Amino acid sequence: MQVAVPAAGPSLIDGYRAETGDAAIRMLEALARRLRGHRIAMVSSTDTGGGVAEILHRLLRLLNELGVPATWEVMSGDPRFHAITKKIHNALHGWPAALEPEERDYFHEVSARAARELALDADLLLVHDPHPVALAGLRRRPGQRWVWRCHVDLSRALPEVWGFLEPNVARHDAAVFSHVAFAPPLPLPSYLVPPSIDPMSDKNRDLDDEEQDALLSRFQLPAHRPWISQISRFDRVKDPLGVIEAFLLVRRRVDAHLVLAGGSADDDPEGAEVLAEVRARAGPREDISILPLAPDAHRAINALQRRSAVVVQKSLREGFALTVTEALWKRRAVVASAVGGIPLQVVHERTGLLSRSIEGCAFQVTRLLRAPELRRRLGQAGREHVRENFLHTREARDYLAIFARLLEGRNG
Amino acid sequence: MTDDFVAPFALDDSVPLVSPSGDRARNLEELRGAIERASERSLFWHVAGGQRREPWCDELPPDDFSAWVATAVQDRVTAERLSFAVQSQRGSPGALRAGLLEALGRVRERQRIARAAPDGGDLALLTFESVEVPTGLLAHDPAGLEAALAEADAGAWFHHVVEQPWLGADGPRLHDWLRARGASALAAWLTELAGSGLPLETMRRRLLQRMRRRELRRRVSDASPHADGERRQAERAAVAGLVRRLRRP
Repeated sequence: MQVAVPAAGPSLIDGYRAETGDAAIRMLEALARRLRGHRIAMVSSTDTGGGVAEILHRLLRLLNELGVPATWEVMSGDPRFHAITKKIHNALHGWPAALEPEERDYFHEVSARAARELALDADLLLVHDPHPVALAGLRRRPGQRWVWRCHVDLSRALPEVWGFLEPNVARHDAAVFSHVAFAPPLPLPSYLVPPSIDPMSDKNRDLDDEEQDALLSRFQLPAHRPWISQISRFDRVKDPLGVIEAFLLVRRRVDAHLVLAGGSADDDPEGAEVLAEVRARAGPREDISILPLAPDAHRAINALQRRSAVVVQKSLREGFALTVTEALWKRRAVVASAVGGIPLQVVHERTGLLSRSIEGCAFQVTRLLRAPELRRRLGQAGREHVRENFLHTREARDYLAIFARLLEGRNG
Repeated sequence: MTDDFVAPFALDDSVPLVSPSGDRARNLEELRGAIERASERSLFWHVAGGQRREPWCDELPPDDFSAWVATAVQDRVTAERLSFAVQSQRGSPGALRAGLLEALGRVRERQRIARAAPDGGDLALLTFESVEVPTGLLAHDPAGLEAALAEADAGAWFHHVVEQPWLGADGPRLHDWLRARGASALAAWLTELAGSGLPLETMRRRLLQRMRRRELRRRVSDASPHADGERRQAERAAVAGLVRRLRRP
């Protein structure tokens, strides 16, 4: 399936110029000129829900505005395929999981079907995450460049599952990872490109108080208590139960309200199960709100983050944690686990606070709730850190540079 | 002058494409080995990459080696020695490598093995390549190059002032071009500035200050044949102008 990329609406480039200045835009335009005459395609497993889909929606539009023709092809799958890829996803994060021979066969069967159905005719294809990883071996034509973009932390990947994927990865011309710790040894060039957020999206743009009130009124959250929030998929690796435990420790000392909000991506069948566990642990407490959100509740997430005194991301494993980037962009004080790509964003005591345990999380949250000036200082530094390193303009710049490097050097 | 130095100097921006170098360190002994093996590009990125990542900050974070030894290995003394080696040996890859190895060599081998990061706290070494991007800024003479640098972005500063002198370049290097045009003093000043390890935006502001001081001297000197009153007036105007400009963010 090819995803339609809307071209209408206000220019993204003009909006980015206002946030990042002329220099970043001039750089993108110069790189785009180097790619003139080449077509780019993104390939992923879904166009809704999850950080990857969000990034691709905006990135595609930006590339097209820059004059780089870019399309997006989605490799669809049935529930059985998604259950297998979820298993792969968990195993790549280090959770025990084994792929049965028939599951491996089915993975290849769905990949072969997608290879027949998708266009895959661009000059350079950027393939996101494990789902479409086999396509390069099935559909490569001479002169094409294939790049595998891995958004997952592979540092604890189970060898047997990584061993299943690795030969497919090796059929690409380059691989891209979010963090050096995620990148396994590969017989091809590996680049490090942290993901990014869009400062103009509904999830990140400025909201005035009135708009925030309107968006939040349906949740009936208390106005008189500071909110601690974790806004993330209901997924075990995000440790929502650990957040509740930390909150209960915080509540022994400070008055506060916990908001656990999030949706579940299309390709995550475990979401409902985890949500039920979270509800059971929270029980009837009135100081905990559990808010399942629709995949398009971007403005509500925006308002929740902006109204939170402290934003928590207590993940056990992470790819990059764009929720942290979003909170930093909104000048929020963040307490996050020192896992995955989080330490790239949360520089301890400079742009936020890192923790490694339930007690550590509770300690830092309590500290922040008692220190408004510290919250302000960290929030301001976090905003500038994101402006420089984690907006879409920087990610687009890195991709364009990689594309230029690979396409200009091709000889078959 | 060769053809390279006759042509105008084209200022390029650059995108650093960062990659894992493939080497890792779990303790000080492995760090020592990794530094011995590291390419010049890898060493450079670990000590100077922060300048590219945070061009606007007032004070740069420490280099990657000192930061890792201080926070993951928790050996503050060695971290300080590494910081000092980076601060004082920025001039060349060879001197830097020797300085870092000397700092690590002050810890006995058994201690170097014992002083290790916790599980998951390894230092994965990086390297990088630059993808050059034309800025469209062309300088025909040293004054023009100074003006172009004053306008240029952090990427161009990093590429021409910090990276190229360290790592060499295929085309004409900024410092060589300036020397070939008789501007050795400016070339030496930029070399010294690059060696300071300051944030890139601070370097750019220093260049602006230098240009303004020179302009101030020129205006004062132009006014010297005039009467005392006129000269004082010109001096006051020049100083007031300088103060106004320096106050700009």
